[in-house]
Amino acid sequence: MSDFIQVQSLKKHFPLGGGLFSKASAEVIAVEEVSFSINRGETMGLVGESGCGKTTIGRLLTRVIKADSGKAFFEGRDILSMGEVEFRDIQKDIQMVFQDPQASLNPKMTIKASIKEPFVVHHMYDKVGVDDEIMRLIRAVGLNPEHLNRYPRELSGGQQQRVGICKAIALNPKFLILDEPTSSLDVCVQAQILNTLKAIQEEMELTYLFISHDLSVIHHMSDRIAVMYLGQLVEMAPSDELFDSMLHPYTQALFSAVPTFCNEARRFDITLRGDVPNPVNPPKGCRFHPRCFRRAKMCETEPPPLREVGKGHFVKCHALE
Amino acid sequence: MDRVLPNEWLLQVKALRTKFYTFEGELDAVNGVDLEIRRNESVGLVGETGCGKSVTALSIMKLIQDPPGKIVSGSVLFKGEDLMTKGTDEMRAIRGADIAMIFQKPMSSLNPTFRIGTQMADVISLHQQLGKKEAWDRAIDLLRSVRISLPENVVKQYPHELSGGMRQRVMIAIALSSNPDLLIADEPTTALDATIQKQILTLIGDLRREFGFSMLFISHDLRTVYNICDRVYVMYAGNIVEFGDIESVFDHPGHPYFHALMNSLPKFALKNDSLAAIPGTIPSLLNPPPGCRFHPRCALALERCQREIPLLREVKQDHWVACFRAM
Repeated sequence: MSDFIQVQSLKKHFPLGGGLFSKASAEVIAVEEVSFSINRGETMGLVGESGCGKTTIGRLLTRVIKADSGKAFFEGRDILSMGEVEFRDIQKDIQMVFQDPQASLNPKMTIKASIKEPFVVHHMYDKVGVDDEIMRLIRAVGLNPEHLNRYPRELSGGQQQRVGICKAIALNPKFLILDEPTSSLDVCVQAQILNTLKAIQEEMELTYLFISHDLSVIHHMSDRIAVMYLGQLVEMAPSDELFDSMLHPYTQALFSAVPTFCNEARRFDITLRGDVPNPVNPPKGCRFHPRCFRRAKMCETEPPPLREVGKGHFVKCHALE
Repeated sequence: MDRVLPNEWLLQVKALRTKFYTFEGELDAVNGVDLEIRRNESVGLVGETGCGKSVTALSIMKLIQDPPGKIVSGSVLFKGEDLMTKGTDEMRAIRGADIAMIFQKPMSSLNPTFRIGTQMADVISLHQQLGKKEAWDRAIDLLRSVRISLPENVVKQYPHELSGGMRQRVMIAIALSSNPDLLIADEPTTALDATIQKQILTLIGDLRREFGFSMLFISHDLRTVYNICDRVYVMYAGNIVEFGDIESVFDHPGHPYFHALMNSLPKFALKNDSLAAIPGTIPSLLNPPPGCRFHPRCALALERCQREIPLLREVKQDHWVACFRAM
């Protein structure tokens, strides 16, 4: 099986403090030893609480920030080690949609100018037919031609996010990183955007990395799901498998934290104690052990390995031995 | 005097209208809202951004900034007394003491330059005649009651030293400091992570049993409201479109808007390819549609919905719906 995206031992620490002449005093461990792969046309969901490193992974894969170590293969080529010029070519294929649509649009540019920008950057604007292409794109994401001459502030949050998606798919990419694309939107607008994302995925044969903290959204969108805690993957499995038989205590706690309606079975009732530990100084052994309700002696010293317990189901926990 | 019948209305909001006067024109943010809360009851107020949930809460507290806003009519009976007739000083005595409020962003409700204990003691001594030392001790007790470990250390800390969940606990402690009858919680867990949100909601539930206050819980998160409220009010574009017993409203939504809103949520039980989204967007309150404000987006709209405003009708015991099509 040839993997479309293959991430191997990705690592990123952010230095804390330190100035021009002083060395950094500490490091925030944002992403550590994260490996996963995504098949072509698949949606991989990445879920976790704030500060767990899910956004950092998205930014590392687009090279917005530089990884400390690790590899990320895109169609067999390592995008992290290649040069700028070479990467510029691949950049068109890897695009990102951000959480805050207003912040990712230039307030002084009309919507049309914003959507045109990717074509200009990649020297494709002189090509004939770009205006027709823009028309096609805005219809694909559910906007009208009348929106083109407006400014971002004149659009609602949902419409702004549609423009964000429109920009991301403008150059016909292969891989889209969606970083909490609906977190700032109301539920019925969220439903519209999620439907649009599914429709364009099918139409353009896109592969998604869908980052969210909302389990119900992740479950709805993803074929496979990876759960992150403090910079590490703690569980990864096909979507339905994960929801039917989640094994890691953190996944169970996260799932139990989502309030349910009466017709939705509640399988766990777990309220975790304490806060997420400081990523500058994460706990020794298993990073989840101070909050874990199933911890054993060895969890305090020995970091558990990520083991395959079923077909495509990986768990990082001692308690399953 | 404190022993009252459980079904006595603690708060009765009647025909409340709040307008905002903007450069583009005047808008009815709250367009004739009736809302009632019993003693020891937890009432949810749900709706999407801009539907008027927060303005309703602020109007109850008389905290609408004038200009641009103004409460134009209606009454807010709290323990039988109309808050709309109260003066500034009287309202100041009621706020914090009888009706307390917690907000979405605990950081912006706390002063970053003062210690937690100082800020808490200030509020405590404002509403209760306590000396400095006693107020400080009371602050420690309150922090303990919101399950903060080592409260003796936390009182000496500054807000930035606390996590989001801890800050919200501090806000809850301040809100409960004078044993209020009503707690208005405006999206108190929206800014928190899922596991922390669960902690705070569990805490609020425990404290309600301990302190016995009523709660108006404002949220756009339908799942949360379903889990912690006894009754619910649904708002759309400044109007209450449905209210009643929580089970009845959530299990059998009577208004097409709430029905559609429930359907637009991703569900764990059934995984479909597409979600049933509501077409269109929420109307501008500057120029709301005539008749039922939901009719342009409603799949069941009749011709009369464009002209007549549907009134709330009781479709089942303790379940009211403002729709001509509701049975």
